[in-house]
Amino acid sequence: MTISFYSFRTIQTMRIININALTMGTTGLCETFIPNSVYTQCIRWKRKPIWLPTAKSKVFRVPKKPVIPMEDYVELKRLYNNYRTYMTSFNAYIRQIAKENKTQVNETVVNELTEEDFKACNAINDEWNAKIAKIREIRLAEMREKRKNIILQSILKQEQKQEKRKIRINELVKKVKEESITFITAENVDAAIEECLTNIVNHNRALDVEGNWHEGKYPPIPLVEETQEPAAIEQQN
Amino acid sequence: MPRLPLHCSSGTGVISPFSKAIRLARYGCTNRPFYHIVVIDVKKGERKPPIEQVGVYDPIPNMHNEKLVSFNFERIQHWIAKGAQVSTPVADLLGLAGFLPVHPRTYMRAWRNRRTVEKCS
Repeated sequence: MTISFYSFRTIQTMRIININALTMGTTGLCETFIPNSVYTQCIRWKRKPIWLPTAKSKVFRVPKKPVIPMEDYVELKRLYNNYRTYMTSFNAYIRQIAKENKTQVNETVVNELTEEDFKACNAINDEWNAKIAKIREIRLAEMREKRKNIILQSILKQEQKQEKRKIRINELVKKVKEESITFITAENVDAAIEECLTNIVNHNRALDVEGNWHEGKYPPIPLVEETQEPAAIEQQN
Repeated sequence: MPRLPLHCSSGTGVISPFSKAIRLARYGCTNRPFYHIVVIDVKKGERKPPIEQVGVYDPIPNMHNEKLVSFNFERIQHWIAKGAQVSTPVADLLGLAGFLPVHPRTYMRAWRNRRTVEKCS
């Protein structure tokens, strides 16, 4: 028995499972079965391979020949003769029909027909085109109007925005102009310095919870107590 | 692996210069026969790609006790005119359908059935 038909891996698995080519069909394996493969699909299909000999149980089997009675034989012969005759004439008839159909194809006639067909189709096409052109004109006009409206609205919005912006800027400018009286310029810088020197404002004050003001002194008095020194050092660090 | 057909069951449309046959191609599964009536090269196998499918035959009676069969008579006529052979089962079916003369096998089957009925009764 040649087993070169199977791949090496299949033979290996066949040996492992202890099966042969005949019983392989019932195990769900096949020629292309590969163990550990990621995707295998087993469908019952296998029949007895052609190179296997006749089965032992069938070696001495003699098939029975059918016995046809004489009446039936004669009848069948008659029927078959009739049938064959009928079929020959039928085939001839069908071939004749085919031939007639074939000869009917005339180039000029076909061309004329195609031209006529084309004309008819063209007329229908033109009609449809005209119909659609009307619809398209209406649609395009509508679209144009819409677009115009949208653009006008956008222009209006832009103008309004610009106006608002102008008003806001004007207000800002006014405010700055009003404030500009108190600005220190090169002209009144001496007067401002003098005023500052005369009116010294001390911000070094603190308010406690009870509403008492504590005046600060500069430079601040360093703390003398020893207990608080390390804390101060630590804070510095 | 099963040799699954990868061709179009309705026919590839590839016509070879060899003689054709109109015959059955089994498309069922185990214990459930179902046939396509196909035009194919005479010497090609059952599961080879057919040139054209011209019908369908379901040999198992359905719930209404009917065996359904369908033919594309125009194409069958075309192929017969081209000289395609018709296999016996298909000729039998076509005879029953009234396209061809009734096949002798039909008569034979009929009288055999009649005889078995007489024997049983």
